Amino acid sequence: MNNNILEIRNLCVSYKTYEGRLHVVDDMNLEIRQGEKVGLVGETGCGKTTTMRSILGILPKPAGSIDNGNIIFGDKDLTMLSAKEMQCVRGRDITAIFQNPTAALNPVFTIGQQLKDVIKVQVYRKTGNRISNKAAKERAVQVLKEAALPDPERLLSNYPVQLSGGMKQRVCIALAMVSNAELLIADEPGTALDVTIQDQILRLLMKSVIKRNTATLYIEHSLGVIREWMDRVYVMYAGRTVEVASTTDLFKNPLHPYTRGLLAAVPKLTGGGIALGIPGRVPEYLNPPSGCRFHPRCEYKMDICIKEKPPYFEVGKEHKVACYRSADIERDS
Amino acid sequence: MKEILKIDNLKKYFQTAQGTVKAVDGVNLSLAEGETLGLVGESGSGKSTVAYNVVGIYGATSGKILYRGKDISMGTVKRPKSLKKDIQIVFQDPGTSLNPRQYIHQILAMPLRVHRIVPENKITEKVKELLDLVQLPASFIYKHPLELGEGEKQSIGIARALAVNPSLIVLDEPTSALDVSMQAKVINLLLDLQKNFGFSYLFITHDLGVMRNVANRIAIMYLGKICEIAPASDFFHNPLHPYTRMLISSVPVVSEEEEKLRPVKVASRGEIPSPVNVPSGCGFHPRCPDVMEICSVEIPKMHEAIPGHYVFCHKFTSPNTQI
Repeated sequence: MNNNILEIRNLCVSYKTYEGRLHVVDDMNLEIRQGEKVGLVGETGCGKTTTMRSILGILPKPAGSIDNGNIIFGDKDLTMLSAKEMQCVRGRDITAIFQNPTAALNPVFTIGQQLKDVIKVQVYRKTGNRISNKAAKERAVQVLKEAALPDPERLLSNYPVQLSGGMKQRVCIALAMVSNAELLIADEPGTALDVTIQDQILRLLMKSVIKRNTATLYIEHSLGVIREWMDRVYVMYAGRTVEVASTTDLFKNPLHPYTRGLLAAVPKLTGGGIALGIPGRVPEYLNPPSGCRFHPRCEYKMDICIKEKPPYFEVGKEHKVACYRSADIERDS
Repeated sequence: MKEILKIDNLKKYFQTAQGTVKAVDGVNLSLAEGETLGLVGESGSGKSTVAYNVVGIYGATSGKILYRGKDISMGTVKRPKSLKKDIQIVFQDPGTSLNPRQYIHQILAMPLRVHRIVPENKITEKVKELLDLVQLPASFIYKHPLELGEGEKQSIGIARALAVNPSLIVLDEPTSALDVSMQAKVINLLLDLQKNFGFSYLFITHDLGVMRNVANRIAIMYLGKICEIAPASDFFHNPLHPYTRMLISSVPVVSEEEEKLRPVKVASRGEIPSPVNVPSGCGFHPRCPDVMEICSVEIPKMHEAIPGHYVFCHKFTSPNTQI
């Protein structure tokens, strides 16, 4: 039985630059099931956003290109669709919330204009009917209310600059929820906000996601947020998912050295100092390390890690690790 | 312990077209020699304004900042050069606080020249020494900031602050632009430097997890006022102010031990109001889960609820409530 709503298979994405090709995403695999909340976590420069852009078909052109692999969404392969067909998938079937709400909203149009435009287009694409301005406005007020924004009628005539960061992000959530899409991709929606506001935003987002049974791909670098809200987690390093597990499994029994390093580096509320962090940094993509891309930073490295890319080892139910040493690591811990 | 910095009823108002912004409104703090004081708050709470006042980027509207007994509340223009040298700052975003057109050598040589730390012919040597202090290779001197990673850039920012042998370093969210792994490195570097040189840190951040691991004492700021000051361990085991409880329970955590530390879930609600229209009485009352009648009428007083643990809340001063 295949109830995957999105399946990324062996995806390779590269960017062309003056110095050569940057192989940013390399052999990426990911699955999202119906109504599931999946987290994708990794450091800056690990290819999280590139993955998101590949799914949405908004890779910067002509520099970025998908070299290999498939992105299966429902019965379509998104890598095969034309720009025009992709435009219909975006918004209607897959929506997104971006990291910086200030950049995501157009500063020269009012919230009302932006919301009504989106609603009109979405209704047209979904049903083929055009709706009146008045009906669009009613719907706009309704989605703003759902996003727990006070006084939505007045808000419609406000410009984005008149709102606080948290309110802007709520508007973005409202925009994303307009179309009842099957898949929502959220790219660090809380990062630009304060913790108390982030908490509110995430609760709102998760409430509406659960209500609509929307599958969610949640891109995040904060492990805490992932632990609190997600069903399953993919850990990404240098363009490849290196570990996947259910959230409880991953935080109880992390097996990839990268996951362990990341978890150790998080400053704990219980105190006791901070671990040194993983040595080195995310590799250059011009000449990425051979074999396992993590080997230059890995304390468990063997000869084979330098030569060959590790396959996924199944270490538990739904728990896969791309590391030759995972069995040894499990024994040690 | 000897006091290095004392902030006494500091106020900093800004005049804008919308009215007076009371960014800092009566802050009292003290920092002992060799201590790390954490200053936590949401954006808009005025924590950076406090930092900029200490460094002298702004002059205070009223109140005093005493550095080893000398008043430095006047801003840098009138501040003696020797005092400028003693207090240094590391900015939040290393990407914008380093000149992209200069070599690392030029960036680090500037403070050395301004304060005549070493003679002209020893500058390169001293720059290499500084790079060594922050664990970067000497080969970095002819690199531009653009060629460095974020963590390395922040290390350069720290090296620049160290160049003039300061006693007090203001750290304005030094790690908020970094990944956890980089953050761990930069924080460990800062802690090492403090151990070796005995710096005092005024550490500003919004990350409570970081704060727990670096600060000796923690002060929480809300709308230009301090609402709670306590020693770090006390602070997390027994948070008193409703705002602090809301903050701590909003932090996403990664282990079960941490989860136990969090107070019973206080649902976060509302947003920090604009400092132009500060609510009457206690500034936090519109968001407070334990709001009482008196809160919107009267401004609370700082109260020592437990020895060393101060809280700015009516709950602890009114006679009929107990902790």
